[in-house]
Amino acid sequence: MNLNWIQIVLVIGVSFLAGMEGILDEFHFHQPIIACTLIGLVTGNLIPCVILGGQLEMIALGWANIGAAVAPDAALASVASAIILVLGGQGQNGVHAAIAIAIPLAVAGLLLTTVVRTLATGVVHLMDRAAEEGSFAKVDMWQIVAIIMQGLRIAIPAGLILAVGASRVSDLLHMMPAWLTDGLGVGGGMVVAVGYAMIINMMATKEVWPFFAIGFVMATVKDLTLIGLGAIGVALALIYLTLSKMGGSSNSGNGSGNNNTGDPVGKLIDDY
Amino acid sequence: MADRITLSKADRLHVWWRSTFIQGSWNYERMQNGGFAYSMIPALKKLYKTKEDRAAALKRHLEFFNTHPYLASPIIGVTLGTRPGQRRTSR
Repeated sequence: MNLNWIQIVLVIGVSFLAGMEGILDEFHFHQPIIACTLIGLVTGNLIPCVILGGQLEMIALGWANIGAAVAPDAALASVASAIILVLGGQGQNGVHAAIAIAIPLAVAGLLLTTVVRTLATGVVHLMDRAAEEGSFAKVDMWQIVAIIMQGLRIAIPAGLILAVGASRVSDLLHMMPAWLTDGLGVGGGMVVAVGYAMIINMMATKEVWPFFAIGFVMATVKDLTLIGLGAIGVALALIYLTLSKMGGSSNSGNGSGNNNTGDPVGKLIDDY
Repeated sequence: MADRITLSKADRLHVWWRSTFIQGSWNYERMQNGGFAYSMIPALKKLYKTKEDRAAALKRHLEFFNTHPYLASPIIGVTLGTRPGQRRTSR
């Protein structure tokens, strides 16, 4: 599928936002579900791109920039794979191949992030020099330059893929043998499990495990709609709230019903 | 105490908006220092008027800083709260 120039400008704009957000972590334009949906919206391929975004989001759920460690780059993975999906023109059938491409792209994006963050060290030295002069305007300018640099980190690769053109991208996708896409699809499925494990590792406490179990069982029942699952979730939350208020007097016997949460931070906040 | 400078709500909102870009110049040397200085600039502009004061203030705020971008907000808020006092005792 070929794009007209308005779509190209919009796609590059979306990738710029995603690149900025990949580092700012505030507005979440880089989350696959949002970035892919936006790319789909501006190119008119909304449904396959939402499916791609949702599947990538499951993989990227556990990725986070912590300290000096850089997570695999969700921004480049989602933007580039969505563009490839659109250019390939296979619609929903192309989602698996796009996910297969997304994972290596995320690792490649990691390298780009590292390069840009190293360049930012130079920018900060320019800021130091501006500080010597007491010039607020120059510090502002260098900060904005650094943010633009992060945006270009995604916008330039996106532009390159667009420049390669739809026909060559779809040729490439058709050249990929079935064993490769299938294999990468299986690998992608395993990465989802790892992403989920990372999330559970972060939030699991004694109290929430039953909810995970209920959720995983419910999710296998195909007849339940999302609204049905949501209603069950709200109902469980309400039951939990009611019971936890009543607790302490009847069941635990040691008086402080709510205190054995296994979550030290929650206890600190409660006692504060 | 007559020269005590207080920050208006507009200043604080301005700092809040800039603080959403705190990770923009994240780097391997001092991490979020550029973003931190950038966030504090509306306040610093109000508090320090001479060129020497401004240069000193900017240098102080370009020291090592790193936290999660969400947790940066309370830290910046507390820092804002301490700045007027620092102004009065500034060297």
